[in-house]
Amino acid sequence: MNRRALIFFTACVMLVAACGAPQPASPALSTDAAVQPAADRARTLILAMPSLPTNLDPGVATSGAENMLHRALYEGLVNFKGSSTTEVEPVLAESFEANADQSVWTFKLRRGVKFTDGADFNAEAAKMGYLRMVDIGLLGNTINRFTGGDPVNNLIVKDEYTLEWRCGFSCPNLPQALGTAYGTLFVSPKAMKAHEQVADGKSDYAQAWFANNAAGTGPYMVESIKPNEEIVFVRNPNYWRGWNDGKQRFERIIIRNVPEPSTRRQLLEKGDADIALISTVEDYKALRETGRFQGSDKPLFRINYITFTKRGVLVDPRVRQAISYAFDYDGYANNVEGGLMKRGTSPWPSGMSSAVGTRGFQYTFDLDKAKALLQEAGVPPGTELTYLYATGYGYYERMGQVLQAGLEQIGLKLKLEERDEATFNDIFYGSRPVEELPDLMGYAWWPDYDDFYNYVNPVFHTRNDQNDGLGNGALYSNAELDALIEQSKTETDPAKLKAIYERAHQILMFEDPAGLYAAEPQEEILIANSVKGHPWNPIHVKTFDFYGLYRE
Amino acid sequence: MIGQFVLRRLLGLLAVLAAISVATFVLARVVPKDPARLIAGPRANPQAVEALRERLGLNGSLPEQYARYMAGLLQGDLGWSFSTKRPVLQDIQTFLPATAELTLAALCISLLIGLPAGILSAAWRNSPFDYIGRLLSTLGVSLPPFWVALVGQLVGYYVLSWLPVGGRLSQEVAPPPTLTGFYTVDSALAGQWATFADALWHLLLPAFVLSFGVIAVFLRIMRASLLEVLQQDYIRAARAKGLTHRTVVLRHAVRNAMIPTLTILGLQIGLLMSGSFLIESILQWPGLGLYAANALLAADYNATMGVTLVLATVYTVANAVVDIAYGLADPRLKVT
Repeated sequence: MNRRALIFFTACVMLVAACGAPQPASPALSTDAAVQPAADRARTLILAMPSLPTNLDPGVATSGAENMLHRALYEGLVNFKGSSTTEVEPVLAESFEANADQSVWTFKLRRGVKFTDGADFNAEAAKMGYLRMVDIGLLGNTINRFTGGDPVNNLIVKDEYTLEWRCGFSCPNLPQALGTAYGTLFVSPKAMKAHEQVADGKSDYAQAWFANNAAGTGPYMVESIKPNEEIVFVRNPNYWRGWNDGKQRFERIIIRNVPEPSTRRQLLEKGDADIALISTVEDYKALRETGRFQGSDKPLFRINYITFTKRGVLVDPRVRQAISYAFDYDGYANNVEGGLMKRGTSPWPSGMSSAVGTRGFQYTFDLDKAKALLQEAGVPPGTELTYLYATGYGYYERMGQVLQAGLEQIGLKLKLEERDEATFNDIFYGSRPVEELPDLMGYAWWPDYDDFYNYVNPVFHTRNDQNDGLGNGALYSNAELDALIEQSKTETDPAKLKAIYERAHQILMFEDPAGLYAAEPQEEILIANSVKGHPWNPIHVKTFDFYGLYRE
Repeated sequence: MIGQFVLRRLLGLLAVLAAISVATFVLARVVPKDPARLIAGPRANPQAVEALRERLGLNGSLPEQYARYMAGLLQGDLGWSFSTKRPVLQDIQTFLPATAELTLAALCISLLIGLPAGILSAAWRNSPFDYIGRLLSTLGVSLPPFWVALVGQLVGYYVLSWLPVGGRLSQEVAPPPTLTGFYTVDSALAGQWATFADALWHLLLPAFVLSFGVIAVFLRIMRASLLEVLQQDYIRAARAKGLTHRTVVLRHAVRNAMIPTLTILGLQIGLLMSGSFLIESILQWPGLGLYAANALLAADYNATMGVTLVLATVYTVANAVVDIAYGLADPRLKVT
């Protein structure tokens, strides 16, 4: 019997070992010395994050988590200065200036900057980087907008280190648009040429290679990737800003995949992680109260909201107004979210320069008004609505529960339906007609930079084949609003812009509500007090300027 | 005779795998998910999403997609993982050894604790051994594995600082030269004892948590089976010959009582592997379970298919091996 059991176990071991035998060892780790000296912990920055994205391509990957990786490896022409959301500072551009009407910008590029594969950064590389993003089509909207859809002819290489940018209209906010980390970071043209695959005369721009490899000008380089486990970055020794300014900047950055929220908290508390995403209110508050961790006390440029699908009883704006009155904004932000969110007051973030603030209409939690509006609209008591939200984000569910409680008091039923993110996205971004969409959906949006058009166009403009309304999942449509959005695209007169913002606010909030704008969340990141240099910029959600971080 | 039996089992195994591949493929594609949309992200325009869909081969009919997939599979190509951006086969080669090592370690722990505890519990019925055994088995089947994992980590790592969090090796420890893919085995074979100790240290909590419920199963089966055997006439005869209780139990009763345990062994391997999905996600064990969990959330069809086929293969092969071993172990059974 024992002999047979042994044979059985041996067979099992051989089976699984045979499947796993050819596993290649990482070159960086296959040294003879089994146990290497521990890296200096003080010079290593460890992040505990809920997922570990592996797409390192800054022209493809769009999530905040992926953007975090890109900012360590790649750079653009400019970046936001500290925590400012409007002021930008040169990065790979040495300086920039506009012509008199601000329709043409000239960027003087920094000399002597090299990509990690040895290629020079120059105007040709910058132009190629922008064209790559536009052609791939996932992140090129900003560049397209500011080149009139013709970047080939409107991005002009004047000389090796001068790039001229022709908007075709007055574009005073072009530098701000280029300050975002979405679709503005440059990959090495040499690496792209070396790894691109051409099929039917069309290049794939080396997307497959850039997904797991990097060649940028950024402060860090990839040391190793262990899928689902960790990504390790090490300093780029030739980084143009240098490493000898006296600050104890990090030599290595380890981003660990820690899906379990309680484990992230434990790692942070034990000092085994310096930065962690703390996703529960209780954990966040408990950790902040220890005084050992820093967080942000101001909201991000982001709105968590519930979309209205204009069909059935929701066609009548009074019903949408009633629903908006039945949501306990303060209770949700202060109690349900523990004060880590600010109550929603506007369709776009209150920190944006286009915010209307108290000049505009605001909802209060007023059940009597809600009931009166429902009666006026003739909605029968007991009418049921559905609310769809993606799993994995507690706040969508909590928003729905708070609304459900409010609606119950005014005689409406709200059915909460949870779907995994892929399914939700398929419904939200898909091509279903209005009749097949849920009545309400949980959603969140943030701008790439502080710009009304950039925020409003994707989510509130009528969805069309011109790439407007890409994030308008409820297929909201209002002709007057569309006209205002289009006008804002090129308008530079501050008084006219102010009027556009106020009118748009009135339409989206009251006259023809597109959604219930529940709250503006704070950053869920906590950082150990020993790590300095994070500016908590509300535009850079869940990402870091890794070069700026240091240990004190 | 045995050759025919094995052949029939192998043919049945192929049929089962083919059926599983069809079922998984269809189920993965009929759910309303569009991986291209998910990969492209919210800022992508429809043209880019359509191009991505075309590139991923998601535009053909279901039979076309399946035929393409199977043609690739027969050449060892399981497709490309959307989430890791690598070939699925390479991912499986990377992650399977971790899961296999964890599963086998958990199985060893289950057998080493469950069987002796079951024997002690039955042989000395209503003694303190039995009470402890019954308590252990009740806890094993009633405590959810995710809770055991969370508490184990809280106590082992956070409170006592005895155990590490996640991974198969510490940051400063390099993996041993790859032979089996099992870090404990490979490091031992290479004589890298510090690496061996580190790998064992990392394996301890996930393996124990994974084995927790299975220990209870083996304990209960072994106890019940041994109690039944101890009522048999031949045991009474052995006792009448004057043999000690210990000799009767260990030499005459245990072997026969082992047969039901052997029967469920194959099933338990399958359950352990599927149980590792949850444990790996909670304890950050970088194996096939964590990979599959990420793949499912990302609508990564190819990765989901690949993992399902591998698990189905291991499960059916393990059961086939157990069936054959069962026939060999029990001479009363004929393999036909």
